Amino acid sequence: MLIAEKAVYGILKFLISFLLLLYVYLVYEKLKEIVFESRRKKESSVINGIIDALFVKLSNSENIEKDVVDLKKYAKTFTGREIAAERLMGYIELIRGDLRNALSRICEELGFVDYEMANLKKRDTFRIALACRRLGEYRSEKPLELLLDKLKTDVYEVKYNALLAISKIGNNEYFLKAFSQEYKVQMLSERNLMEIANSFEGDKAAIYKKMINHENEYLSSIFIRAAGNDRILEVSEEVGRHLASQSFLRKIAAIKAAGQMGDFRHADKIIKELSDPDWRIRAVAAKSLGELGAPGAGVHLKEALKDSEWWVRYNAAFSIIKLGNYEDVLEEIFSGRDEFAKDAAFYALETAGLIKERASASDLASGNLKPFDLKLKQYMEKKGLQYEHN
Amino acid sequence: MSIIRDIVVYFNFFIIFYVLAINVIYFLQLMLSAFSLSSYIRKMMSSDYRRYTSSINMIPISVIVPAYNEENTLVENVKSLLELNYPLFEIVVVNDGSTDGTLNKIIEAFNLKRISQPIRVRLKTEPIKGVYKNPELFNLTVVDKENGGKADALNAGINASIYPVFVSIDADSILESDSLVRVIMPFIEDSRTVAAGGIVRVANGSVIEGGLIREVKLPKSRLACFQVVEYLRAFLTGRMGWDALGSLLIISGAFGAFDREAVIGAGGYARGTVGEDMELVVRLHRKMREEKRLYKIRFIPDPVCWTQAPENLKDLKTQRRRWQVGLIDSLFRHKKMLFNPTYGILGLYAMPYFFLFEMLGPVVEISGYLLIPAAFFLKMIDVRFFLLFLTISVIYGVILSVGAILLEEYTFNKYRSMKDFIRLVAYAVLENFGYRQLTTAYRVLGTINYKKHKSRWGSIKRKSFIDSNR
Repeated sequence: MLIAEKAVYGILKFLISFLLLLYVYLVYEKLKEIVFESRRKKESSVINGIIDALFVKLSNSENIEKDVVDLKKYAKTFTGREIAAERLMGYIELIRGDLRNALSRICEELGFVDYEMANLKKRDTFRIALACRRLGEYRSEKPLELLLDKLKTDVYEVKYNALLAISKIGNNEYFLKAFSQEYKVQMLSERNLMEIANSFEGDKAAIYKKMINHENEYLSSIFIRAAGNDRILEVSEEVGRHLASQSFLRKIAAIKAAGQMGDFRHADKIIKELSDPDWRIRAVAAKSLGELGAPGAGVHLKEALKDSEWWVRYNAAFSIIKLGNYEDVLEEIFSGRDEFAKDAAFYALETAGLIKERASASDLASGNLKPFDLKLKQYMEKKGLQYEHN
Repeated sequence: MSIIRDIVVYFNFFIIFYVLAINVIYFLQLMLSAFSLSSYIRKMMSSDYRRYTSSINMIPISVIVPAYNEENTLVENVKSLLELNYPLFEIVVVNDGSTDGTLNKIIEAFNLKRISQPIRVRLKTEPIKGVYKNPELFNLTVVDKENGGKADALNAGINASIYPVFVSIDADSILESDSLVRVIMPFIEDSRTVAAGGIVRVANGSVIEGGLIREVKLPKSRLACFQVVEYLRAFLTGRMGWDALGSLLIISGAFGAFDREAVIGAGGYARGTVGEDMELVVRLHRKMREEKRLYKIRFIPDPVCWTQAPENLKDLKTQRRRWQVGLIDSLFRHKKMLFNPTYGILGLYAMPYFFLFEMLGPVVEISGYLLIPAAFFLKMIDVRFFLLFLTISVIYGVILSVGAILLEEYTFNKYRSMKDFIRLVAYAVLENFGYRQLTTAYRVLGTINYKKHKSRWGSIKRKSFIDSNR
């Protein structure tokens, strides 16, 4: 009993001491944070002031030697370096051309690039990932070899940030190398890779031309879609070649991209895809034709309105509206018996605010309605909706 | 007499081992959470998630807001949602047959008109009465339907939504502007992600302007302050720890993101339960494991959703009873998973833990409160030993709560003033004397009345967010 009692008292003493320590530690941390914040605030205003002045001088091609010397002094401490790095990264992100190159060189001169390169050798994976990210933001070509080496890792954060850094630095040769088999960048998700492709700051057309035809269908499809996002017309032909691809990924990516690029040359090929056996291809083709704005696609989209798949009908209806001149196409739909097609078409008209617009423009009082409006009115009456002026 | 003595003695031993076991688990969870949170914070420092706020490569999201008699908070909530910092999202408000002015208020506030949107019915729900939109506010849709309960409203929202990921949020909650970007990151990083939950915090006391949290403060209400500590402990240590083990069984109904197809594939939200949030997550786990699919269900500690905590005992009782009933219902519906190695760590650890400690815990605790005085009168208890045991339990409880506050201070540090911090710590101590016993009693009531309240939501009075600032 005595031993048990001693043990319980021991536990109690331990817990109370632990609790007190925890409390003291919390108060200490809170006070430290208050002091740190106020110091950071003071230093920020000085350092940011120097960098802002330096930027103005750089823009006016004035001498910046003294400002760089001043910055070096502040950048010796951890806080100073963090503040300066943050400000410089902000400027680098905003501007392009010679000014950006000059700021990038200042980052090298201040030792920021070397500092992060040294961090790449640390064991802490998050520190490495952060270093990769910052090296990308400095846009210096100095760490390219090291960044490429970091791609060999299987750690998601490091691989993503290293590849994004290479993309931002914008060196074509290294960017292409990064997608070679040994670096296994395919482990990154589709959206990650598209973001990386879209972030590339070198000669995009040249890179996309090569990558669109990459032997790996996953990578190839990502660059096809990225080309669509960026609307790079120089690669439109390459994209068009994949419209008839046997690969589902390449084909669907090409249909999307062709629509975004707005190159009418691809219209016929996309129209053909409206009858693909796979509904996903049909749905994307229907949407893409609307984005493309191809004249003459309306007749084919009208047929797509009768598709058995909800998404195909939905996309076709919105595309018909986007194309303009929808009256002739939709009059036939509203005269027909396909209620699903009518519903989809009516929803698209309503969402685009066209029902209200037509009702206001129609001569309801005289009853002299256009044939399309008459059909629309009949459909609405059947549904218990009113076709009136507000 | 000897039988009673034996019962009391064995019960005492049982209590000691039970308390020991639960405290060891809590401590391990605290440690696990500390490591996970530290990793998460460092990961966020290296992450450039902010670039995604304007990226065309983001996954579009449907935000579903089920609403039943929410005329006081819904309009403010929708205003805050419209301010979210995200490239492409729609808001689908589902009015679940409210009997107050919910529908009229939202129609008026956003100048909505009835439209005839065709809805692709993938999940069966009560009939839709109408769909409302404003063509100039293209990303807001209001679906008006017959009353069918929260799960039914969510299912109707899923049917009406068009994007591949949906986020469900409560009508009395508001999201921080970056919440969607952060909660979607697990889906961006890993296509195997089927669900992700975010942290829910107590909004009472904070300054809210234009539907956004402008200043985080502790509430004036003591009851709400206890809940702040409780939420911190539940989310920062509890869910974070479960996430680290890959066994997250609850994603709060107040804020969770889901892969639309995965949820439809699992049959949507289950009707006839008040714990539809937990039930769905457990069912997703079960289905994925049974189909041997690779999947992830994640908890992200900082996409913050702010909710109104009850400020009176009646509402607190309703809420806690509902939580307990929901827990019991989810565990019973999936009892097949208990101690079943087919479901891996879920079957062998997470489900038994929830069964033994979360579901039965309140009953055991209350039994202790009743049996100990009995043992005292029967002179079967060593008073000194009992008091020591009680003191240790209380101090240990305080350590866990202060540990959660420590994690909060170290990571997100939302309560920045020294005064708020001192109050938080004080409430972490005080909650052990009354509040904790009270919530335990409410949960026991939920257990006793399980059958009666199984499919009843019970209403909690909400204040307008504008009023709550006052």
